[in-house]
Amino acid sequence: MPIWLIAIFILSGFSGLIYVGNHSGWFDAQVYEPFVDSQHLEAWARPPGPGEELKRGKATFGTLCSTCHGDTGTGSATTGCPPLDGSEWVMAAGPNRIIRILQNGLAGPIEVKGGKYGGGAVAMTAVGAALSDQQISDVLTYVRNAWSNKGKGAAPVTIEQVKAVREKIKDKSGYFTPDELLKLPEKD
Amino acid sequence: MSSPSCQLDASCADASAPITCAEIDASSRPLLLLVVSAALWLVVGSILGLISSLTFHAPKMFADCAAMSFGRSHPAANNAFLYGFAVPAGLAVLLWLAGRIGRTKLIGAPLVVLGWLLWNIGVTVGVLGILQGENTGHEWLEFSRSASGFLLIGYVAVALAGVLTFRARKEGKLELSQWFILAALFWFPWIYSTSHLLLLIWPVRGVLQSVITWWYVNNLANVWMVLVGLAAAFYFVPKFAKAPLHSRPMGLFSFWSVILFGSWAGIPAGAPVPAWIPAVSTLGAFLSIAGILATWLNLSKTLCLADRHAQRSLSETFIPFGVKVFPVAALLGVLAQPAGVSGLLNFTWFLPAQQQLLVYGFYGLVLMGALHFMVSRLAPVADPKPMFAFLHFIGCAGGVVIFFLALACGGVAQGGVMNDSTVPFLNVVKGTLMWIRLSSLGELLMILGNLLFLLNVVLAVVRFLKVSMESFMAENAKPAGVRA
Repeated sequence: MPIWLIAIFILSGFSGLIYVGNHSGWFDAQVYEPFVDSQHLEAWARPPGPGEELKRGKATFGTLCSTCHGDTGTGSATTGCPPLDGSEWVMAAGPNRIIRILQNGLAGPIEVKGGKYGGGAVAMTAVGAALSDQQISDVLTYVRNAWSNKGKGAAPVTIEQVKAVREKIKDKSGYFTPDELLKLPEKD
Repeated sequence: MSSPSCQLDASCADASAPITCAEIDASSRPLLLLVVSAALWLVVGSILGLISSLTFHAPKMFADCAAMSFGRSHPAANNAFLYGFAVPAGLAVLLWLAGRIGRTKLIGAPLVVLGWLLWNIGVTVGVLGILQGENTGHEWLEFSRSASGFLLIGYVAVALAGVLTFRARKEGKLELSQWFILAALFWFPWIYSTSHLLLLIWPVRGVLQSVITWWYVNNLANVWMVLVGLAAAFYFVPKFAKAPLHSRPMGLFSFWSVILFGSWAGIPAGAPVPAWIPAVSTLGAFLSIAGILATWLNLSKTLCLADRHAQRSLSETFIPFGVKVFPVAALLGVLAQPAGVSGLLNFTWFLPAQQQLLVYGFYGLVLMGALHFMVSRLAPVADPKPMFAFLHFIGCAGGVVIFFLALACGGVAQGGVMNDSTVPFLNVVKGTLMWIRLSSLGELLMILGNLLFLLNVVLAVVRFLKVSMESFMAENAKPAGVRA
């Protein structure tokens, strides 16, 4: 075996390892070419600027909520779905109650803006159970800042608030009732 | 026999050997079945390949015939070449070499015949299936599951005869080629069954399917075919040079390089999979550079010892050409892997050009050389006329060189404009037409070469059968007393 061949083997292996160091994304399954590692990837990803959560929330609302509550959050007295636009439940000081409604669902009847909705066999299902913390925070921030709710100073719902409430009710099974919710403070 | 190549059997005709080359060759005659069918599929594959290439020049030519559309004729051509020609012809050479180098008769001839039958049923069902639109959608694995079952059982039957023959070898210590032969016999059923299990029986999810397909294609072309091609090269090159191989340790280094690093490569940078997969694949390609250079050095130093002025047989023309093509094709494959180059060459005609150079230029030509040698021993007839030999070589070697150069140059040019966002994609496609036309010329030449290969093999076998029949008739026509 010529010595230069052994040298080529070592050199090509060494340069190959340098290549792996620069291009493997440190074996992170989330990193694809041309990104170098997850930090590089995060630097390239667009940071969530103001309004981004509203866009995402609107998309989630359009997929999951608008069928019953309507595109403009007006609800429907005939189907028993309460309005979200101008609702005192939505526009409460904090999201303590609405996170619970989304997570576990609600068995009515419920009084909203002076009208009675739901009751009997009609209930809101636990649509939030399949959503991430981020998705719940986005969609609730959206409904608190859409239509006539806009500009009324409703604070955005943070991921931390969603996490905290979910942690508290992790052992709760079944729907919430309005009476149960009214016993809770609007804001922790 | 008056051919110069017949003198090359001297190394086998050892007076102390308990068995002669003629006896080994006589026992290996069932392998001719594999050779003849392989030559036939080679022609079928190259005609289908030409049809698929013509669809670029005249899209309306087969517009009303779904079977001849590019989406069907192209995979049918590829699979006819791979499973009709490349694998069975490689098996025939492996089994013959196992007997020749092991100085033993072929063991398990009925297994060879059974395997040949099942294999060819599988290829026929598979190719016809693709032409009818039955395609799994995985590159180089387009045959339907039923066809693949025939192929796998057929391969195992033939390979079993190879393993039995290998086991019956007279020498305990292995010759260099025997390392390659044994590894190749086991490698194909492993990669073929694994890829089928993971793609068709219990399919893995999402991008993993592409990873499995890349792994299989790379293993078939860069490991199995290289193992078979080098098994033949390490046997024939010293035989032609009438000298021992330059370095056995270097040959073993080549072997372990193919086995250990060859199967990693093949996933291009920028593939839609986690970045570490193509990065590790590139590391494998880098590590195989020394093995490629060792193979080139070892074989070329041995070839240097050959008498350049002696009259050359067909095998002595084909095999050295394939041996010279190997480092070029293999190093270009390594070169196309890293991110910078892959960004230019991926999705261009360069990659099919490099693959054709390796699969046809190296493997195909080394195999044709070995098969010419083998057929001339199993069915001894006079060597073909010089003009025939010249046309055959020009067809195969000239064809693949033109094909490669045209598509490689076209691929580099295509990659350059494809990365320029100001050039409309249709202009990029139109820009490749001239190169594709040139490559079709190469394809035409290869068809000529393949046809002459088929002609040579069929004529040799027919003449041999005729002579055998005549001698059998003459034997039986003699009076009983004389015969006794």
